[in-house]
Amino acid sequence: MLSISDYSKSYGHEPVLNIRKQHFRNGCHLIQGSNGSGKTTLFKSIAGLLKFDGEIALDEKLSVKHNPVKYRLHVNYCEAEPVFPPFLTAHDLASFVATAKKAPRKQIEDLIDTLNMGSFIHQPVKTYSSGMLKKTSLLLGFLGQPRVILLDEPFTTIDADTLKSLSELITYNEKECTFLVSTHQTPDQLPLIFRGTYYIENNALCSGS
Amino acid sequence: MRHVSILLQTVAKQFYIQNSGFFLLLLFFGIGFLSGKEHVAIASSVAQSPMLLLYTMIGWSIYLWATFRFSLEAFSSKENLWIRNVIFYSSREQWNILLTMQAALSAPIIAYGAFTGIFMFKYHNWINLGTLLSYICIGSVLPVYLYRKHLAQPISNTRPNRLKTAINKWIATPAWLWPLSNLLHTRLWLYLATKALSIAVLIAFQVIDDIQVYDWRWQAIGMLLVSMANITLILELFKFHKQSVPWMINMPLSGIKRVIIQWSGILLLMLPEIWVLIRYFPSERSAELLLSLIIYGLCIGLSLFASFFIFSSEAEDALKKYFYFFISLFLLSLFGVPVILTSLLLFAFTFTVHILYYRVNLD
Repeated sequence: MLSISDYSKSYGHEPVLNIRKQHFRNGCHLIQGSNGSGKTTLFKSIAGLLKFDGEIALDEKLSVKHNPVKYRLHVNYCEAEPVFPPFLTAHDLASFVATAKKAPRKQIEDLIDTLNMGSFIHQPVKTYSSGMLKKTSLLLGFLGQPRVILLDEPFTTIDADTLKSLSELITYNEKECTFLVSTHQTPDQLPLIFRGTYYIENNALCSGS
Repeated sequence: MRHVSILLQTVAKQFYIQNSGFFLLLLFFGIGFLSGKEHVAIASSVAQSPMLLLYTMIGWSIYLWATFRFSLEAFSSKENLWIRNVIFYSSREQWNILLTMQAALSAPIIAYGAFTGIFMFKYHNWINLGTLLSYICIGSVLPVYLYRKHLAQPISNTRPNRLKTAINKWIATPAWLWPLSNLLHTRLWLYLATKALSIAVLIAFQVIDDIQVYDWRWQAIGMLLVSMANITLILELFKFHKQSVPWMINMPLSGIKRVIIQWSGILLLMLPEIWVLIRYFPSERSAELLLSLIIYGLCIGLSLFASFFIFSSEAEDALKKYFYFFISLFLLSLFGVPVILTSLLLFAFTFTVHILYYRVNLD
């Protein structure tokens, strides 16, 4: 379970987001909000990539502030618009992250098959389309034994087959993992059942269901 | 080892590519201006004097600081967020990976340190040798310790303060350096090969020159060949202006300002040849000839650059045109037309193009 308490984030003197208390249990949660509302800021804070005021913890034990390394080992983040060094290959990136996140060898192979990346896994990133970049980001996001996976706009730029595979992958893992998914699509347009829907409005996270 | 190689490619290699201008300058200075004996003399002095060693270490510390800042920026950049996973490797692996990366970044210091260390050993100056070894060890280990600390923490997003902004503005690449900076980043090997060729030709002409046998025309023809050898690099500079910053060329800048921005690129491009010419120019020849040859070389470079504005470099007869241009200048020199007069003609052509035909068609 992911817990957020007394969360507050501002850029300079401009407040972006405040969350008094919020818990996310295992399962898939949808986060929506207009452009610039603070979805990515929230995701980056949860991923331990951005500084913020307040507390974010896993199972109320592993705190991002007090045990940042142990916490981050269990939280994976897929960016909305991923970029990688153009001279590396998806395989280079995957093997680097997989070793770090202690992912079994078979996991990489399974994910490559599921996301249909076999044809370009050994090509340099500079040759990738935006969909291929997104798949690379998703591959890195599922590596290891994550307990939270943050998917920022995962359904844009990927093809219909990958969308289906990704939905199945989320459904398969949602019993042991908390998924926070941000998207501009409405829930009925997506092949997923969300445990909760949230909106970011007026610098606050509001529950939608 | 593959992971070390990935990090070396992503950080160390990019550091050398981004600072290739500085390293080239260092090479020109180190190899072009200082002879082997002078290097030995400097290293011997550093080996024997604690004060000189201290000054050297201050210089090295500035370099180390630059590598450290570069690495931190690389670790925090959007495209390298995956590097932050390094913190999940075992402590030993982290030290292995990051220490190798830092050693690659500090390679010039380690290499020069080793060179100086040989002389310290030779002169039995153990205190200096110990200081040097301690400095290199601390200079390698301390950044790695700080990298690990940095990678474990979230990325700071605090706004830069005014002082930082002012410093950034001060050290930002000025517009007149953009073309050359781009050339060094994108076509480094072409640049090195061309410079090696033109400098070799220039040195050959200086070595063969004999005032009893040849008059000033020998030097003029040499300078013509050297300047023409740079044609591909000048074309690259033009392409940068045309493709990357056409808006800058079309901006309503004053003629002088535009000319300074575009010509400074050519001047900087020809600087290595000018240095070599000054260094190897036969002492029997007059200083006036040296000056007029420098002006001649620059004017050829400038007129080649200007010509791309009016003749398409992709046209089928482009090669023929530039061959005729070369032959014309060759004949002018051969028939004794003073290089300063030819330079004036070329400069007039260049100036006219930059005032009247400079606009780039954005369609």
